[in-house]
Amino acid sequence: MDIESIERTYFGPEFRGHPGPVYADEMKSLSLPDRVSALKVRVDDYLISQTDHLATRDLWTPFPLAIMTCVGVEWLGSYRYGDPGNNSNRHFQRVLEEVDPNLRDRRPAPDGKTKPLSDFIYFAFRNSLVHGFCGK
Amino acid sequence: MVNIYWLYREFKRAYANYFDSIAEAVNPAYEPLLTFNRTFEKHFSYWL
Repeated sequence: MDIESIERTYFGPEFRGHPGPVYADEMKSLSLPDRVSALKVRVDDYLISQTDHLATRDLWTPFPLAIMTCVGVEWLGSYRYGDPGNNSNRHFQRVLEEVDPNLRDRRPAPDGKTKPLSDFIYFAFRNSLVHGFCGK
Repeated sequence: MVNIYWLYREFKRAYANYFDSIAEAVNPAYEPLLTFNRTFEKHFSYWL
């Protein structure tokens, strides 16, 4: 790796049609299709290929896989449905409902209301893992 | 109980389908592509 490469901020690997790795200073000049390609290979490299190693029953617990899956679902939802800076557009749940329409089914919740099953995964599963886990 | 192995597999399928669909888009006014770009510009505003 040359000095110039070290001093530049790395964005992600090369993609078809781009002559080498992508650096942050190139991003302004990327076309919209190239932005799609650049982000796809970045996420393949940073998220998918590494999380694949956690998707094995050889590990003692799937806790790391659960965390990374929630990260992936939330990230995908932000691009698919928009990122308002919180989950007010339900982008997390909408990805879940896309992968399994049965998760739109409503069930009674502890507050007495009925809510979609995707909400149970968001509030009880995702939030408990991400915000409530306390290692001992 | 959530089967996380199932959920991760399905997430990857949705991820691949999503990128296939926007990569094939030829109309720059295609709404999913515009939504993608809004999030991209928000997430990487520091570099844009």
